Amino acid sequence: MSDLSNFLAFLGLVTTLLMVWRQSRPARVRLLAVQSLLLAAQAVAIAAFTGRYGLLLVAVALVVVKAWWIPRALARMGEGAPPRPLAPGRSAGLRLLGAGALVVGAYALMLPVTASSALPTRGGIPLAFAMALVGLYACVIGRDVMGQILGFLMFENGIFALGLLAAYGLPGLVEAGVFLDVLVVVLVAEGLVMQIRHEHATLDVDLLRELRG
Amino acid sequence: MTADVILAVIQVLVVTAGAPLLVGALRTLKARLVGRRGPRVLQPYANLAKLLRKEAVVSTTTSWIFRVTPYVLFSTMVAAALIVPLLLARPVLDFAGLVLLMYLFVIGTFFLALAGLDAGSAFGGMGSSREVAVAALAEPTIMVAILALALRAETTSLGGIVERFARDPLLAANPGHLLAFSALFIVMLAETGRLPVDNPATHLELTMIHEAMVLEYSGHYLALVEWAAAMKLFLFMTLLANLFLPWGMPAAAAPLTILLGLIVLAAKLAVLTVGLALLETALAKLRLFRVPELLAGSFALALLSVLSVFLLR
Amino acid sequence: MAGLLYALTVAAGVAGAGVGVAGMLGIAWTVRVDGVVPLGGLELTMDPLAGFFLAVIGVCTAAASLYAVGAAGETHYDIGAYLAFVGALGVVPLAANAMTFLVAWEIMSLASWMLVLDRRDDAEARHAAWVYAVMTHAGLACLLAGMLLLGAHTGSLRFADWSAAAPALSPGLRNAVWLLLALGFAGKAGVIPLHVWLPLAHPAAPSHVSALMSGVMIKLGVYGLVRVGFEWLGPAPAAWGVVILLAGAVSAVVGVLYALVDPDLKRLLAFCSIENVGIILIGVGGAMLFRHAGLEALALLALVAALYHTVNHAMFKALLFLGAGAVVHGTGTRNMEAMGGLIKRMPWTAGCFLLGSMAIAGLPPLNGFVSEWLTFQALLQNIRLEEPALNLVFVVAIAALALTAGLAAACFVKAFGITFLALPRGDAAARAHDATPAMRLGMLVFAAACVLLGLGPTVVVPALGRVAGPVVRAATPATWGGATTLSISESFARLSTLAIAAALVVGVAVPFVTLALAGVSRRRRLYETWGCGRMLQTARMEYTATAFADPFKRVFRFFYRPEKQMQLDVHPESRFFVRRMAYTNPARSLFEDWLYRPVLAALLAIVARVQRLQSGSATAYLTYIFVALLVLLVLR
Repeated sequence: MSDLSNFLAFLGLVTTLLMVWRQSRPARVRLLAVQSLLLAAQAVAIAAFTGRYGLLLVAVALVVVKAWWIPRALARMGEGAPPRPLAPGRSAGLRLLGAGALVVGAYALMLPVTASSALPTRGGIPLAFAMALVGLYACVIGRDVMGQILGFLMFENGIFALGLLAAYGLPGLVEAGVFLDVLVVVLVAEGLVMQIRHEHATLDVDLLRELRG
Repeated sequence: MTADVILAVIQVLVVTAGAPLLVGALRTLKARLVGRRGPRVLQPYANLAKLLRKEAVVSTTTSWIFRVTPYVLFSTMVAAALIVPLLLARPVLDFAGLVLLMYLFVIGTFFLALAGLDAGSAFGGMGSSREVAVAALAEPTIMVAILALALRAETTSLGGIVERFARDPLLAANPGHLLAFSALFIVMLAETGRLPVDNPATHLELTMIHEAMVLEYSGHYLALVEWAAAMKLFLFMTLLANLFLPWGMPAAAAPLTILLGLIVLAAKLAVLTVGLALLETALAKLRLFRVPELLAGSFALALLSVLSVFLLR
Repeated sequence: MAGLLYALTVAAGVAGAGVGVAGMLGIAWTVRVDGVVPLGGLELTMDPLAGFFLAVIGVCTAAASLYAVGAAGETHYDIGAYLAFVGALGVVPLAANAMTFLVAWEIMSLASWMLVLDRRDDAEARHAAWVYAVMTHAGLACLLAGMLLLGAHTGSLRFADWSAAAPALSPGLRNAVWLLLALGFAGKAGVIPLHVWLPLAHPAAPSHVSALMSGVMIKLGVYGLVRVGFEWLGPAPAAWGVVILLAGAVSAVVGVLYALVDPDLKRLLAFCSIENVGIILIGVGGAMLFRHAGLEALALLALVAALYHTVNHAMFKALLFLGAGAVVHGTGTRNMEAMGGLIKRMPWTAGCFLLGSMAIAGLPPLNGFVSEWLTFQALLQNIRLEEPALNLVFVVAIAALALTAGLAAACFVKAFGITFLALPRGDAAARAHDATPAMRLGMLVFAAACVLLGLGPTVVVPALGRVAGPVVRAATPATWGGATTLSISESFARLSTLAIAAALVVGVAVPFVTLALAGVSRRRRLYETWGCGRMLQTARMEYTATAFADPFKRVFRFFYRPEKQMQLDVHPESRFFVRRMAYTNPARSLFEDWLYRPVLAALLAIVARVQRLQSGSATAYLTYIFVALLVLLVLR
């Protein structure tokens, strides 16, 4: 059980780092779908091994919402805009260095939690937390609205994975609430992105200064 | 009870009858001091009689306040006559204290100032404005001087203060006592409108304070207002005389003691009148905006009097 | 509909007054409802002091609502906010724990803020509401901080527990808590220099609301100061009493100085409220100092004087505000320079306003005189305090109180004289109509209260003595004299207002009767005012309010720092023919120039620097969140 869970968590980390490295928007959306599928697989494995069949429902929801519907919505949002940023971006090396530092930091912060946990899935806890932190990092360094949304969704994946690995899933109500939140965020973001594209013909956030104090 | 009523009547009569005499004596004395013959000492009685016979001219601009004010003024002076220790050591209304007395005078100032504004002339407004300014600035001195007296006498009731001071013969030499006396003397000049604060004989409107407020009054109204002003001077001088020279005031009420009290009062008032006449003859009227400096000086004197109580304790 | 709700408020006010009086007579009760208010639940306790304030609130509410019944039909008033305001006013004195108190306090402030915004389209009213909101919430912040600090160190948020636990606290903590709570309460009471909201907010609100705000709401600030100074923090050190005494003295003098030079009738009354709060605080400060020195009887006297002045001021200030409201209602303006001659067109209002002016000027035998007399008698006995420094402070307070009394009389000669007497100075005043019967009834209730409180000190003072006794922990109940004569401190001073009133009545009768008996002619001839030979007397020749205040502006020049500006409009052909002249000589506010403007400028400078953080870039904001999260994780 631990081996399977650790392996899946490791694959999740790979997708995380790939999302930071790749610049093409369709590629990142596909990576997000893969990441969500991996999480669903984690949930199924845990359900099978521990008998918590509620997690199967969660896995189904994950697949439907985060591996199918949201990537479709993201693709819709982004169609028409160039897949790669037109101006030369920042170097991938620095980005990956930052992400790597965050992974090391996540390990250091989660060490006491791992030590005190008795679950077989505890090995993947630092990796899940790293996914969350790197998601936030991606949100910060995302150059346009799509990058920020992708970063947020990765962060949410990471939090979900943390809940799954550290406590065999959060209480049903919390899960449902979080799902709903994500749905709403994406819906709102869709409308917002359309509006920004319409107004400014670009998704580059640095050009938008109306939030000035 | 009936003795009290008779005493009250006698006190009121003394004040009402004696006030014009005081004013007449003061005027004649001032005239003689500058080499004139001056009016007769009993002239103010003749003036009052003349005014009472005349018709009153009332302005259409005024309201009932104008017509009521002379009576209010007179009434406050009558009430004050019952409060000030006049002939005996204890006044008729025994409970009354200095604070109450000063506030009674404020009633008169308040209504007279309103009557000055009522006629709608610039003179009246000017007189009212200056009068209330001078009265307001004299208040702190009054209260601190009352504090000085109350500290020594351990009471603020007038009868109590007189009795307490009468027991202490060395009081006249007490520096604090003299300072309080000077402070209250200056306040008296301000409140009763004597030189150097206000010239009661001036005909120039711009130099008037009290006269400007009563400019519109005539006939019996003017008689009452002038009479009340004379009574105010009389009462203030009596207060000063009896608080600071409290000897010779009998305690019990009997026909002989009342006569004795009257003679003693006449003597003290004569001394004070001479002093006031000399002062008024020697001084010129102050410019209006120098009057606050004078009152500030009197405040300083009162403050020194209070400090002397603490230092010599 | 609005009339019905106001009538309901009248009934509620009367009921509240009844409950309050019962509390004053010693009927104590407690109500606890958990859960309505967070952190401790709703808790109300009745004790004599709370009963006293509740009684004052009840009476004022009833009469002011009666007035509103008459005035409500003509203008738009926010009845919901009014009901919330009145309800919160009633709850504040009864509150027994911190959260109940603060929730009620905030509802009271918010409701009155909404009522201040009555005329939303007026820029001046909006500015007034803004300043009021800022100042009252600054005060609330101080109160919150102080109460929570005290609660954290004593372990409970109930006032009764604070009284018990207070002596065990460290002096530094007690001083800090006292400072915070005193700032909060003093801001609500309108003490200098936290007073800037009062002259803006009170005139902007409708008159019956101004009456309640001036008469009752600022007294709750005094209520708080009394509770803090005597009960919640245990026995007060001398420094606190000195601060309150001097703050009261300064407020009294400064308040009346500003009132003297103001030509706006309602703002003049607002400044006078500041003055009277100063007088009340002189009494409270004196009581604190006497109690610190162990002179409980004198402390009782000083606190009784302060409470008496509280109820007196509520009565005569409410009367004056209602009268001013009637004047504004009748003439359509608040500017005294446009009024005049109203005594003939509005006789009822004039009579009530005259009575209120006499009461506030302290003329015997009305109520203002009695409470000022009591305060003086308490202060005059300060020689019993053995410390010269404190004696000096008392002398300063006596001088300040005397000056205030004199200036207040001058101020109300101006207020009544310019507004009501002589000729109308404008068309609006010439066409004024008198107050409606309901408005008159409201004013008459307060007028009757002023007279009764003035003639009945022998009844009121013992009742207040029973209220103030538990607060100052006076050991033995004091004796206050007989049925008609009040006797203070074993005959240090005595007073009988009934006797004075009788003497004054006799004094009026004497000349009347004598002149009638002497057959003196009482003929009157009506003619114009003497014009020094001039043919026509118009309203332009009268003294104006600005002119009336001119001697004061000169004497107190260092305080007002007036700026004279004169503009001459000359005939084009010759500069000796002046066509028009505009003269202004406004007094400048010392506190705005020296305190508020520099502080606000410094604050805005800091804010401008910090504003650079808000660059408008979403990326930057996200970076802030990320960094903050990392820092929190690392530092945990």
